[in-house]
Parts: sequence; C-alpha cells; structure tokens
Amino acid sequence: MSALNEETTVVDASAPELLLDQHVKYIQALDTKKNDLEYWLTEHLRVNGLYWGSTALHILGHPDALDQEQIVEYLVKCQHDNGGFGGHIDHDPHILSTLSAVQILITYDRLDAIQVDKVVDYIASLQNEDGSFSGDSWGETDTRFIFCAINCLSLLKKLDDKRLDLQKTIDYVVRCRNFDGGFGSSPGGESHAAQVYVCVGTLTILGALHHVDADQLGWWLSERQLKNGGLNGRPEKLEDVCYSWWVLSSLSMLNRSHWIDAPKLIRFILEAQDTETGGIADRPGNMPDVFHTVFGIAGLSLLGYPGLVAVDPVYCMPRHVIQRIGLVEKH
Amino acid sequence: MAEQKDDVPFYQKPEWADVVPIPQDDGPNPLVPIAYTQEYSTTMGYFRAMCRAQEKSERALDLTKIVIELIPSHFTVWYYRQQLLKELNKDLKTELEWIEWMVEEHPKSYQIWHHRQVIVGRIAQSLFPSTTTTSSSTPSTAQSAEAAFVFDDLSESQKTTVQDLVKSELEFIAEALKDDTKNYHAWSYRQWVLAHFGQGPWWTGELAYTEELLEKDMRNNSAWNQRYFVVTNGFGGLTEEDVQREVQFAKSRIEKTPSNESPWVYLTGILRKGNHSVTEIKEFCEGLLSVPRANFSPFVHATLLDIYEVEAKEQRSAASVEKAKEEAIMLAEKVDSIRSKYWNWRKTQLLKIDVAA
Ligand SMILES: [Zn+2]
Repeated sequence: MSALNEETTVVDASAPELLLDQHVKYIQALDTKKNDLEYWLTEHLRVNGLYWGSTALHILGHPDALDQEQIVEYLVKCQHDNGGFGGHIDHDPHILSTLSAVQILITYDRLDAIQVDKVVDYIASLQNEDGSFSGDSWGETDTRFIFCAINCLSLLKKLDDKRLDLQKTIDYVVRCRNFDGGFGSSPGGESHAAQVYVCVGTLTILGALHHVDADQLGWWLSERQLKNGGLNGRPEKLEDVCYSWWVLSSLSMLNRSHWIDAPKLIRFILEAQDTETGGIADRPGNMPDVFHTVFGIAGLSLLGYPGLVAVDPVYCMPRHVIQRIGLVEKH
Repeated sequence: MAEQKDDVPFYQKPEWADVVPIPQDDGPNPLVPIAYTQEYSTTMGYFRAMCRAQEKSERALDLTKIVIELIPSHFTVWYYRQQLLKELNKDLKTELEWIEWMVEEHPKSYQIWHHRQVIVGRIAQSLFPSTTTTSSSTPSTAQSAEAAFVFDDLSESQKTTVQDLVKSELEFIAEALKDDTKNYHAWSYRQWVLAHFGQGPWWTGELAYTEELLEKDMRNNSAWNQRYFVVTNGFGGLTEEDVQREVQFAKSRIEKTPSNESPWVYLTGILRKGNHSVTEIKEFCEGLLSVPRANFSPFVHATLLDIYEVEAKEQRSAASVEKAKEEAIMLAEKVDSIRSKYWNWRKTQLLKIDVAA
C-alpha cells in the first residue's frame, strides 16, 4: 500500500478542487493524440513523457492506469547495446531518457527486464575530465546531465563504481554556485530554479550539501514566490507551475519548504488545471501538458495536499518506492 | 529554405532513387504508435537509411538540413551533420550563416546554440592548428577555465583575426538577445566565447555591453549576472578599484528601482567577493528609508536586517538586536508578508545573539 501524505496541509476552502479522475483520464488519453503535430515533434521525448505520465498516475494513487507490461516491453526496445536508452525506439541514447527509463522500471519494480550493468557502463562513459557528465556521446554538458547521471547511479546503487570520480563531480557542481546562492547550468551561468534543483539534488545524493549556504539559497528560492502564489525560475520572470517542483523540492532538501506560502501556491497550481480536458498547464488559462501535470501534482504532494501519495523531493518518484529500494536514509 | 520551397519533395528527385527508406520500428504491439504526417515519416525514413549506412555525401548533408528544419530538437541529426561537415571539408563560415537563420527561427533550441559552439570551436582551432586548443575533444565544457589561446602570445595579425571572430560572435549573440534579453542558451554561449579566446580586449567591451542592457532594463537579471561574470573573470579577478566602482554602480541603480531584486543581490555579492562587510552600506540603506518609494522595498529592510544582525553579533549590542527585530517584524507583517514564515524565523535567530549585559 502506498503511503499517503502524513502531514496534510490546510487547503484554502475557496481554492478549486483537485480534479483527480480527470487527470488520470487525461494521462491515459495522451497516446491517442497521434494526429497532433506536437505528438511527433516530441517523439524524442517519448520515454520522458512516459516517466512524467506514470509518475503522475502513481502520485494520484492510480499506479495501474497504464499497461505496465507494454511499457516495460517498450522500454526494453529503447535500450541500446552501449547500455543507454534512447528517447524512443531507434533514437540515439541520451542521459535524460536513460534516467527516465530507469525511474519507470524501478517504480514498477521491473529492473530485472534490462541489463543494469550496461546502464552503468554507459553512464560511467559520460563522465568528463572535470567531473561533469555529458548528455550523450556528442559531448554537451549541463548540470542537468550531472544530476541525471548521479540520480540514476544512486537508484541503481552503483555510485561506488570504481570508474567514477565523484569528488570531481562535487567540485564541479560547487563551481556552478553563484553570488546569489543559486546555481546555473555551468560555472558562471545565471542562477535558475531548475538548475538549483539539479545541483542541490546532486549534492544531496552525494552527501555534500554542506557546500550550500542553505539560508542564503533558501531565501533566494523563497523570493521566487510571487503575489499570486506561483513561483518563477529567475527574478522578473513569469510564474510557472513546473517551478512549483524545482523550487519546492529544493527548499525541501534544504529543510526550508515552510518558508513559502503553501496555501497560496496550492491555489495557484489548482487554478492551472484544465477543467474540461484534465491536465495542468504552466499557468492558469493555458493549455495543459503532461510535463506541467506531473510537476504540478508532485508539487501538491510535497505541499501535503490530502489524498495524494507522498513524493520524494530528490528523485521525484513515489516515496514508498524510494523506501522500498532503501534510499530514504540518504536525506 | 530552398529544399522546402521546391515543388518536388527531395525524395522524388533522381539523386535519391537508389535509397530505400527505413520505416520507424514501433514494435509489434506499440504502446505509442505514431501516426506521422506523410512528409515527416518519409523524410525520417530516408534519414534513418542515411544514418544506418553512415553515408558521407552531399545529399546526406542536404538531408540533415531538411530534418533539422523539420525537427531541430532531434539531437542525433546535429551530430551527424557535424561529422559530415568535417568529412566533406565544408566551409564553416557558410554554416555560421545558416545557423544565424536557424537561431532566428528557433532561439530556444539548445542544440542550435551548441552547434554554433562546436563550429566556432573548429574555426578557432583551424586558425592556429599548431596551438593546443581545448576545443577539439570536449567542445562543450562551457566555461572551461582554460582558454584556447593565450591572447597576448599571438602575433599582431593573429590578434586581429581572433578579435574579428570574437567581435562577430558577440554581435551575433547580441542580435539574438535583442529579441529575448534573458535567453539562457544565448548567455551560456556568450560566456563560452568570452572565456574560450582568453583575456582579450573584448572583456572591456563586455562591461560596457552589460551597462547598455541595464540602461534599457534595470531588471534584467541575466545582464546583472553577466556583469558579475565579467568583473570577477575578465581582468584577472576583482580588484579593490572594481569593488568601489561596482558598489557605486549598483547603488545608483537601486536608487532608481529600490524594489528590484537584482542590483541588491549584486551589491551584496560584490561586497562579499571583495571581502567587505555588508555594514559598509548601512548609511546608504538607512538613507533609502526616507525615500517614499524605497521604504516599501523588501530589499531595503532585508539588507538592514542583515546589517543590524552583523552589528549585533560583532558589538554584542542589544540596541542593534532591537533594530534588527523591528526590520524582521516590518518584513513579516507589512512589506513582504508572503514570506512571513521566513522573516519570523529570522526574528527567532536574533534571540540567540549573545549581547552585552
Ligand atoms: Zn514550465
């Protein structure tokens, strides 16, 4: 049985309701939209999309709403000989889709279906001299890819692989820390809430969070909340539901999620729901998509919204799954 | 682009007659069967055929362009194109012109920006093949501390060549930033260009550039971040003179927009980096309290709270604790109540300060 949120937040009585059943239907229906232009333009994100959809369904308490066997069968086809997963069948492997595939398989407890050692080979091959990780064999680096690599290795319990130099990874991430306390995509890059999430997540997994000035960064993250309750990713940018996750999970890893106004944020997320089709948009009034749906729902779960399955702030997976594989003590 | 404006699709032309397109394999019982549009599925079929054969030809190069213009986020096709450009020894300046057009169409595609970086890295390397550059094996490490060249060691004509290249890249990026002054990829690439070519005269120009952007929009956080990048990386590190100048710079902007987060964070960041105490701006902040617009800025009160807290600790002063407490209350109850929990926590921290009896 999945653990529901223990501490439940008092939800503003005038806030809209969570359209739980509609969101389940929305996600189930995603595969039937094949005539949309968007659908094939995002082909390379199909595995990521499956992670977003299945994670949202798990947090909504409907883990069986998608056909698990079909998903596993499909993911197996996306793994390459070098161990990495492509974003779709026949697509080149990438660290982003590799992490998504591993997350889905662990959530369904079906790691047995793939060759785990090969995944580790693939990830180890992506570490650069400076400790960072590339996204693929093409060589582009970004702190996002570091998090994908470390997150994935941690889920697979392979952080002790001798080929890795994790101290260098920590040093690299610390070099990406800025004067405002936040983190960017590379040393000197502007602080951005999503990059903060991946850097704080990496340091949390590697037990190196002491490199962060939690009070300074906690304040910078809290500053992301705007008057309407929504959060933005950088100063003077628009609020966006996905930042509910990047900002809130970072605050949570720093033990400072209580610094922002939770009821106002809950209301903001709920107002971004599409009452006709289900799903959540980036902000109220816009078209929903599966990406904002999962991060909106995960944000609500982290905020203690009643009736949702608890989510883990580091891995963005159901907390009971992270407990099952024995990683909870880490943070 | 020419290929798309032709009436005849590329695959109906004679030079493609011998290629057998490879259809997408969605598996026997696809979870996600994809109903492609006809043009897309045919194009991708030919692309898969080229990839599988690893064909190195002009037509393959043309096809990568067609695929990229159709779906720029498909990262494999970029890599294939880069290989083809090398194998076929193509003119990279022409490639830059095409990228310029692509950036206008898809300014937020990070693959395009990365492609630009790879191509410019290759041009840089080709200018001085004898120099060991960092650009060939790992073109991607954005701000690798090592520059490709020691600028001062170059001959006068080499310096001119490098300066021209950097200048044209910075102008190209500035053009993209005109449309979106906060484009993250454009800024990342800009930092790479500045650092990759070492300590050349462009760093001075960059300081002026950030000033120009901030003149237009003082709330442009990306420009503030870039300014910090320039003053701390550009001239062999931050000097005392830099600190004084930048403190003045930030103060003058704060006076104009006191509730603007960016110059405040910049100001305190520069002070910290220069080993100055935040208490040095106490008079400045207190002065702002009498300015009608400024006294409602959370950042004035937040900075005063920091200042009084430091004073209280250093001087064990009960009076400073009191002042700090007033600021925390002001923030929690009046000027920044959405973060009242944070400010109340700050208030409780003040109680722990050991003050003289
Ligand atoms: Zn978003």
